[in-house]
Amino acid sequence: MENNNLNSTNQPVSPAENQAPQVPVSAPSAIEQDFLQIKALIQKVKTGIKEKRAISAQPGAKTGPVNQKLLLIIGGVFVISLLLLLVTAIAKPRRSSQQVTAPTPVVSQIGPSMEVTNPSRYATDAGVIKLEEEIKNLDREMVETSIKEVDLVPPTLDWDVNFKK
Amino acid sequence: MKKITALFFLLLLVLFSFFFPGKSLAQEFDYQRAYADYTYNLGLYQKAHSEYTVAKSAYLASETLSAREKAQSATAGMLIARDEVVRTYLTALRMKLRETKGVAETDRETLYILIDVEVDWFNTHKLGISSAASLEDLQEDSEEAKARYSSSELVIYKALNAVSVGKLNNFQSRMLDLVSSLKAKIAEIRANGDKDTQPLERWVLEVENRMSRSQTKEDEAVAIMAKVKSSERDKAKYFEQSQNILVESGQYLKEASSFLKQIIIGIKTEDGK
Repeated sequence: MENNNLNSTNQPVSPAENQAPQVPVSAPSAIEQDFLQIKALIQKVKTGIKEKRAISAQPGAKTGPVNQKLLLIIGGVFVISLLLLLVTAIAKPRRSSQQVTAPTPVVSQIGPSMEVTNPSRYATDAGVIKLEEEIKNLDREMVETSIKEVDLVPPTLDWDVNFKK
Repeated sequence: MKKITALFFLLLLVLFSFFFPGKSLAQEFDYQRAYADYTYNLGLYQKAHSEYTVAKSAYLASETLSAREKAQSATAGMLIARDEVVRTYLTALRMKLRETKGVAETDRETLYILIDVEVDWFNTHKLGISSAASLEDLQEDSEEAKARYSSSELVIYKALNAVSVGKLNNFQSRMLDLVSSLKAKIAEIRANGDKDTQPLERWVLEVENRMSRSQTKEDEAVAIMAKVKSSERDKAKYFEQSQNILVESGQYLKEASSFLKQIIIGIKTEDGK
């Protein structure tokens, strides 16, 4: 009885020796097949890595072609970046270091309430448009600027240094 | 191989420094840099202050010679850090004054002198603090700095107020130019006779009215700060009062700006619609 138990649980048993009632073996499902394929693939990769390691571990293994490839890649990157920089330099004339940065142009944004539905002849007047842009710039700046200098609030410091209990 | 890689990077570096000459490694000393110095020193002070508090408590609890030495060292460290905070703060304030448009040149120069005197005082005071000094001497050092900070405080509040006034002055002066150009444009339209300019002229008067109110508020705020003396105990109260009035002044300018935008819409719109 005890022996039978051991056989059925721990020890490998050949199909011929297996005394258990015959259960019809069904074909593996699609998911099981996928798992088996993945398992086989991992096994292949593992074997490949092991083989490569074994080759590189051998004394006198050649590493020259690898170095040459690396050299070619670095050289290629350098040539490409050099070409890119040259193209940039030709396309854009080099700016003087003393050049004053111009203010960022502001795109005109008129809200729905400020929309001109029936334009007058002055709607396209260059002077009016210029004034409008300047007014908007000033307005935007005023909205964005805090009159109080909030970043520079005087520091809170401990001025009472004493050694009284 | 290593040589080739090093040469490659060296060449890239040379090329980049040639194409981007503006990016200098040595940063120019500006407000941002001065402010970063100040916040860094404030952090050092906070650390030194907590060390001082711990050392002081340990000394008061045990009163041993070793605890006293530790307390002396921690107190000296805290006093030095405190002087450094004041010095870097004043420097940041000076840079803010320099970079704020609209600050009157005479005000700027006067405040520079006052700030520099305070910076020098705290610098000299810092150098005089020794960790070997007795606790009584260190306490005296602290009292000196406390008394001095009272006059520094007035300089600080005046400078901060000048920065706020400068911002308003800049907006007011730009707005004045815009109103002047707008008036000229309206006069041109009136001369053409193809548009009723009367409502536009009335709105311009509204803009000028808001600008005038803004100026009155600004003058009121400046007068408040001008009256504050070094001996005044609650300088912060007057400063806050002045700042709030300056904010009101800014509010009038925002209203004026909104009216200006409406005038432009009025010009661009056909009459009677």
